Amino acid sequence: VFRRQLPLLIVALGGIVMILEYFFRAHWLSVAREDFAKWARVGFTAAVYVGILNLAFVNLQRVLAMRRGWMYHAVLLVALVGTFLPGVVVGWDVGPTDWVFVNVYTPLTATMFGLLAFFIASAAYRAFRIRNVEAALLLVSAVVVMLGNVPLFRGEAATLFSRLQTFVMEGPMTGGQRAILMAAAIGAIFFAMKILTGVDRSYFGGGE
Amino acid sequence: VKILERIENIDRRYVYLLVAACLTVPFFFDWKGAIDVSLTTPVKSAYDFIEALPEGSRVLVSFDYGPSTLAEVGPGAVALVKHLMKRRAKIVAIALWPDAPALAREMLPRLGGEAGYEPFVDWVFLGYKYGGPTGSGVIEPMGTKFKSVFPFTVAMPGGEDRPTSEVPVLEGVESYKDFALLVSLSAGVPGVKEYVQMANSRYKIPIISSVSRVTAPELYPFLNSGQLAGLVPGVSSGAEYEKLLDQRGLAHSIMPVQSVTQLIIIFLVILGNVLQIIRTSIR
Repeated sequence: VFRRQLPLLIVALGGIVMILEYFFRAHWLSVAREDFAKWARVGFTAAVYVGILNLAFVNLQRVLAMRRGWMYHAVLLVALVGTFLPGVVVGWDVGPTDWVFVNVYTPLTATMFGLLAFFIASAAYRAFRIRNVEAALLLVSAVVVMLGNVPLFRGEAATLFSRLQTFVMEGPMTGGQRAILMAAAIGAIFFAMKILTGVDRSYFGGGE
Repeated sequence: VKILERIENIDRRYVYLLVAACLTVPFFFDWKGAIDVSLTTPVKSAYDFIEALPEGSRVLVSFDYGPSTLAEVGPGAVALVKHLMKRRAKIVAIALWPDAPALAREMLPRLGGEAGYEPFVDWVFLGYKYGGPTGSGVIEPMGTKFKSVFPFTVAMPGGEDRPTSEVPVLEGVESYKDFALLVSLSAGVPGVKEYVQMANSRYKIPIISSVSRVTAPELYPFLNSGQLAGLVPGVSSGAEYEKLLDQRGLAHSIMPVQSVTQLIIIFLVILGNVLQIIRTSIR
């Protein structure tokens, strides 16, 4: 009962309270919703620590067993301990943690994002080919949108590219995105109903 | 045909070299003057909305991006915050991304200092709060019990934490209805889309956002429906905003590099297709 029925009951109750509170104004519903929201915040935060511990144990096991690529796992552990401990001891916004953020994390993540320019250029040259009508439309749209973003043109050309870009973004693109959003929202509603009614229990884990 | 095939299958390192040249060479020239961005409706709408805010309006600014997207979101974010400060808006800043507080701690005191803003009176930073994968644990309860979500401010360098109940800029704040505007500086999830779905749809708070260019397409339906009051996507829109503010800043510095690189990508795409067409027609 405690492993299966109770979690199902909590999930169903939480979901129903949230839905009811959205449509009806009642003090007890607001209080219940706020309580569930607090539970959620505490649960989310606790889950982060569980995740960190799990990450540490899994990587530590691989290092101790000296499995292939163990040094990468060691780097992860050193980075984890090297940023987490000083943060707890000294503080998050001063000293070593801040130094690591500014001098290691920031340039690394910026570089990772910046590398996309190289991969996109290479992939665009090799793979972006007109093989059918759809690919041709995609290519023309991409070129139009990119040209609209290049403010090196002057006069009539600049106006034309800007107008074409606006047409693509506000016309076909918005229509397509709206269709995707609506379809995804309808799917999400049905998925939520399956979870609330206990039909979908995949979030329990365990391969069921 | 063989020559064409060789050009088509050129070592990708030559392409990388070409892109590297495009990314670095423009930095050695002052091309700010060559940049003349055309104004687009989403950016103009954002500007007009902030311009129409009464002086002293309270604005919630959410830092939902990290250093990886700093170059994309940063220029627009700086322009928006500068405009808010120009309008003398009271700024309450929060973060939904764990790596965003460091960016907020750098930006707010700097821009606040330039604008003559006083911490806790004109602006405050409440730090990062984890609200789950979609941020719902933070975005939703801010609509009813704002201070219970953020009970303390976050200390700025040389400052101290304070209970939010003692902060002048937060006096009387209980929910979204106590803010004239929400500005989400967003590069993904959780971010502006989640704010639209949870904060705007229910509490009707107007939202403006500076986002990365790749995030923008999925937000256009919200602009169209009026759920977003304005959008500043990518560096080019940041440059548009700078033009509206009459300040040529960071975005104008980045635009030449981005423009040349985009032109090269367009050239490469066209070249690849032309080569393929010639090769297949010869065969």
